[in-house]
Parts: sequence; C-alpha cells; structure tokens
Amino acid sequence: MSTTSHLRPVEDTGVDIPELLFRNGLPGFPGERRFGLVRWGGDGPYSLMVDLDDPGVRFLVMPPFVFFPDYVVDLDDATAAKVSLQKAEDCLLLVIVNLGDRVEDATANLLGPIVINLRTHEGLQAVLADSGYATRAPLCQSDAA
Amino acid sequence: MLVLTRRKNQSIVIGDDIVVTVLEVKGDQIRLGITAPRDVQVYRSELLEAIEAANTSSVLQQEPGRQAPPSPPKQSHRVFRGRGAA
Repeated sequence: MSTTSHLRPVEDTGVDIPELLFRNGLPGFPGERRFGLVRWGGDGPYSLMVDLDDPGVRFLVMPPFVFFPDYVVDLDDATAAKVSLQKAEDCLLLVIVNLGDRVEDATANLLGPIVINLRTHEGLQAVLADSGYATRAPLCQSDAA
Repeated sequence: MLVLTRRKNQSIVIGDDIVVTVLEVKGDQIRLGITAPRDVQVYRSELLEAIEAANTSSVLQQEPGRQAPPSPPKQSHRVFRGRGAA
C-alpha cells in the first residue's frame, strides 16, 4: 500500500530524554502522553520509559539490536510522518521488555517497537504488520532441541 | 457499530477517501481490498490487540531491580546508518 524506507538507526544505549511526546499514547494507553526516558541499570542497555503525568505507567525498554542483532525494521511513510521523521539518523528504536518470573523468561515486543525522533522528541509505537515478529520474543535463546 | 451487508465486488466508502471492497467470498473467508491514503494505517485487529495485551502486561509494577532483566550477550558495538528509500 505504501512505500517503505529501510531505516536502521544508530544504536545508542546512552540516551536520556526528559520529555517525549506521544500524540496518540500507546495501544492500551490512549491519549496524548509525555514520557521521560532514563537510563537504568548502570551501563547495560536498559532504560525506563515513564509517563510524566502518570508515573504508574512505566516500561522497561532497550535498543533491540543488543539481543536481536538481525532485527530489521522497515517503517512505512505513514509511520515516519507521524513523528516527523525524515532521516534515519534521527530515529531511535526501542522495544518494550516484559519481565517474567525468572530472568530467562524475559521477552521483548518486536512487533510493536517504539519509534522516537531524536530531533523533535516525538514518539509512537509502530505496528510492523507484515513482519511476522512476535510481541513476546525471548531475550534468552535456549539451546533446547 | 454500523452494520452493512455486501456481496462480492461491492464496496463501502468510509469518510472521504477510504474504500473497502469485498473481493472474494470463499467459505467462511472473505478477502477484502482496502484503498486508503498513505497516512491512514490499516491493520488486522488481532495485531493491535496483541500489542495492547503485551503493553498492559509489561507495565512495571515496581522498580525492575526485584526481577533482574537478562544481561546482554557479548557486547556488540555495531552502528547502523540508515538509507533512504531505494
């Protein structure tokens, strides 16, 4: 339906952003929301994304390529336009991590990455409709045959 | 919810410029064609439901230190430079 541009952003795990504008919130958390992004856990890849007006709404996020080096995101023009994204260098990609009961149960939502424009500080959660990616992709690959 | 009945090859117009057409009816499967402007996204609803469910269950109940997230595999320092549409 629309053309895709192949965006593979700069991997950046050292980002703190005080305020990101999500005009449409996230699926399940609708309405305009402002999120703060703060490094978490020392020099690991993780950050906290916290709703500035509703701190109970917060997520553990990380750049996907640390655990998923082959992850490919093709953002369509409509998605890029929603955050005024014109250049791949302006794009920060993060995925939401779901912690399980055990460390090895952690999963990441690869179907719905968080897309951030580093220049304008707009963000959204994309839906990679034709990607085949899972909403709960395990971070820890087991070797079980 | 507005309920309409259509036959194969009939269409529905939504707003000024979204058109949904019944292309094929085969058993209990219906193939739909959707024409919409580039800035309107069209998704199978179960995708949005799956993302909503994942988001809801991912909200941190307390500081994540109680459940430690996994340490990353060996450090990768790959940098990707994007390119525009080919």
